[in-house]
Amino acid sequence: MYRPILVLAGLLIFGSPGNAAATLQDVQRLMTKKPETCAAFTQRKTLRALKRPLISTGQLMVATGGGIFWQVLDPIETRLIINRNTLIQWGDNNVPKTRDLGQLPVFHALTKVFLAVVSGELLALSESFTVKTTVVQDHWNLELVPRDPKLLSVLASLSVSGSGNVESLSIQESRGDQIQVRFRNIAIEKCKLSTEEKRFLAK
Amino acid sequence: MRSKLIAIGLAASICLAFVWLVNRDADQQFINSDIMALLPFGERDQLINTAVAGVTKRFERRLALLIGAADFDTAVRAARHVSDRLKQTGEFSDLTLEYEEDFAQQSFSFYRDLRFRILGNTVRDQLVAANLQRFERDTLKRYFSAGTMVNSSLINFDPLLLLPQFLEEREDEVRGRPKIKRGLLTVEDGGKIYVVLIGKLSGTPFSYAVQQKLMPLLKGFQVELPDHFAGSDFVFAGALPHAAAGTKSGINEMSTVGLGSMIGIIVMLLALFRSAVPFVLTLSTIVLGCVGGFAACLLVFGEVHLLTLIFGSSLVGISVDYSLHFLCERFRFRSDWSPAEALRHILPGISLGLITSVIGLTGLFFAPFAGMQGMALFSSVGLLVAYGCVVFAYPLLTLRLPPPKLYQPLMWMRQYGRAWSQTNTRNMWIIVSGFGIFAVVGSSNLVVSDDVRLLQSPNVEVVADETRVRNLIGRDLASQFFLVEGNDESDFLRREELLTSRLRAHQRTGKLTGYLAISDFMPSPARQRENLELHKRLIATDKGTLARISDRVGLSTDIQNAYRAAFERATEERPIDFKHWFSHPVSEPYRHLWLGKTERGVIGVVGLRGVYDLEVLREVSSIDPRIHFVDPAGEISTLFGRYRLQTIWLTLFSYVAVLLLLILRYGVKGGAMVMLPPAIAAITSLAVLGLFGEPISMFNVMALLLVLGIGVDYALFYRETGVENPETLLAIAMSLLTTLLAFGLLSLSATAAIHSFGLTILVGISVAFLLSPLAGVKFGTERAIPEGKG
Repeated sequence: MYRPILVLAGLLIFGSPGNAAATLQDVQRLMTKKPETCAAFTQRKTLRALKRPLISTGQLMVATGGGIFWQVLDPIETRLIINRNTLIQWGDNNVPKTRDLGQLPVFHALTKVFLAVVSGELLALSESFTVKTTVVQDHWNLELVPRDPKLLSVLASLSVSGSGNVESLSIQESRGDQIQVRFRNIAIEKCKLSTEEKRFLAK
Repeated sequence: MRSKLIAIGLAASICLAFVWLVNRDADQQFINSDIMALLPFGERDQLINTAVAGVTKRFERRLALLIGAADFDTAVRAARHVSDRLKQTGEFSDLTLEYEEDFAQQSFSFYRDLRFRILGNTVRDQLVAANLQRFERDTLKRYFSAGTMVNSSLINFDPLLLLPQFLEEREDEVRGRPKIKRGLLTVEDGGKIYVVLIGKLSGTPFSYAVQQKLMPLLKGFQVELPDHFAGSDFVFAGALPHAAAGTKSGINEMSTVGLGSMIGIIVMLLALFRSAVPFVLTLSTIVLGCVGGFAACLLVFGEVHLLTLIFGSSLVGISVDYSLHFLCERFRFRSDWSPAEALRHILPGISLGLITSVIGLTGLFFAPFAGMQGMALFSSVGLLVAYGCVVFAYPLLTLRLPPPKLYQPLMWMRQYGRAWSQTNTRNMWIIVSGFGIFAVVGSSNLVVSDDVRLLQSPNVEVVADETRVRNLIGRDLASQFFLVEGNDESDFLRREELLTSRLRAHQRTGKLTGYLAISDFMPSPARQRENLELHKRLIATDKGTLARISDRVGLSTDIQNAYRAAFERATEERPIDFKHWFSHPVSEPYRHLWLGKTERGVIGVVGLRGVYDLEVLREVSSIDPRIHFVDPAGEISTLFGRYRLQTIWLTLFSYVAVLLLLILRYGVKGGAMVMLPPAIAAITSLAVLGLFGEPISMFNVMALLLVLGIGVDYALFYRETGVENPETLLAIAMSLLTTLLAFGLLSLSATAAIHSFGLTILVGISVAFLLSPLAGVKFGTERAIPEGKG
């Protein structure tokens, strides 16, 4: 909450740090911010090794405090929670396991961008990415390229777009695979969490 | 004059011997503070004992240091500073700061080549149970989950995604919370980032020299680091801080006991004689006794344990008795002082006293604890030296001993002695039975404790730091572990796999949080064959699991066929060799689990985390005679229990031996009367412990041996010099005071064992003193025999 105000103050004092930031500010203005978000999503992974894309649908919740609960409902149920730098995944035999997000660089970048956009901390993005912004009326689009060469070696680019809310996010991996996720905001009540999930999300 | 020179020469030679022994090897450590070094090895065979000692050594030399700061760069700079300073001490054989950043990458490529010979345990269990539905579902989850590392290059060589499953599972077992960030092991907690530094000491943390060198430095970091690196914070844990805290409190206790009794002696003798000669003589005797005892221990054991010194320093306090008896004779021979005559008068008493004390201490020498043997030797030699001083040097050095100035105490003692000699037999027995009833009531409340913590009183600060480190690292290593033997590496791995399959079953039911075993990273050749076979079932037919999963996710037949072809090639290759794995960097974090060759083959460790049911784990080891469950703390408690019983027998034996000796000299009745005071005293001291709710252990039983030694001393002097002998009573009273002071101070010890040892003796000898005139009481015909002396 405080960050944008501070940054704004920074801008007033030091002037504009550059075009990207200035337009990021524009984008920021276009976004509706909510402490909690519940969205339905459709994910489309296009992997070169597979004959057809892997399509999955489910729900996603961003909780107050920045934790994400990501649940695939179809074609198979999977759940995961992201909290700061840890990932809790209900994997084999449905046992929750903690993973180091650093080992999943692509997914880590994806959630980082997603969270930055949802929580309205867009300016932080230019620390790790070079950002190209386009705004057409109330619709915005961000093209992000990782600054870290190591991340760049697996993730070529990332783009996120929407109007009030984030509508789509897509990733181009360096080795040719693609991931595209479309979001549609739904009523917050639809995202129901079990006590166990709430506990992990609150951690 | 010549005799004086001889006496001085003797004293000097004891000191020289001591100096020579200490300087024999300058690097050697003489004072050992490792509590466990006092204890005997368990009852297992030598090979296992050696292995256990090896594991313990590795554990106790490790030191975990965490350096935190608000930002990563500050933390790294602070960590480098700490690491550099510690390296300069030369006390570390290993101090790892930087890690191979590409460790994950290295593991990935190492295991990729072996992918048909390995399987994660969860998948393996599913496949062995032929639970293919579950396996398929879990694999599909990996494909469709949001957070997944699935990508085309992985699918091309591992379409069933088995390798990530294996690696993730290994990762879970190994590392707690720390992650590698830019080549450093780090943990984030409470808005701070900590760099984890793991050090391995090149020497034992129980060495006083090592503690002196490292502890001030480490403690210094906790204070200074925030000054040099803003917002930084330092916390460390390991055996070293525990050992250092133990040494510190041990030395404090030793000096309290030593200093306290010395001051007591000085004050007492000054009050009585108003002359420096008596206390200079007495203190020299004590110092010589201590030096002699120390030298004897160095000669026999090569080192002296800190506990031996603590116990021993108070025991040598008994040696002051001989001096006091001699000096109190000065009250008797006021105008016609003759040291030779005085010596002749006390000689039978102190000689018999020495013999009975040494018998009591011999009991300790047969005690199964190395430390107790040291204590027996230390004290026996100390007493012998003190006895020698009194017998050979005192007559020469006290020719001009000034007469005492304070007679009041002598009067009190005379009254106390008279009170006893005038008491009729009936009243005497009433007193004795009073003590008897008290003893029975008190003893019935006795509780027993054989807990290892009797010998350890962890320092609160050290424990707090340790808990913080444990929480930060997120690992709760159990002190228990398994040792697995094998004829060779393959046999070892096979047996370990048998063990871990049982451990996993207990892990599922919550009896164990986790374990760490080599075979999880390097399967046995037999398991490699099984894994190949399990893979074969998955991919063999066109309608098998691979085909079904391919349908669901859209895997091309090309990829499926390429995978089958790779499998066929793998089956023709030779199994991976243990040595290959062991020499590869991927094995580096687990090499400490391997203990190497023994005369029976090879041996390794399986580490445990979060042990909730010891019995179940103990039972697991029964599946194979070459799998051994090791529970150091539990074993010590069991040993304590067993030795408590043994020492009870030992004590009874000593009491009977002393009784027989006394009967030989004084007849049945006389012997029994001399024995009565220490015997009642012993039982009463147990009763007091019972009433206070202090649990008893083998240490109390050992204290009873000393109550015997000291109590018989008191009784003997009475018996030898008669009840109407206030000089003797005064000498005994003074020796009681010094002994009470010494053991009273011992009972303030923070270590439970020393505390209860001191308390038992405190009560025991007080009662022995109060009742000691009993020994001088003569019955019937005995009364008629005139006493020559007195």
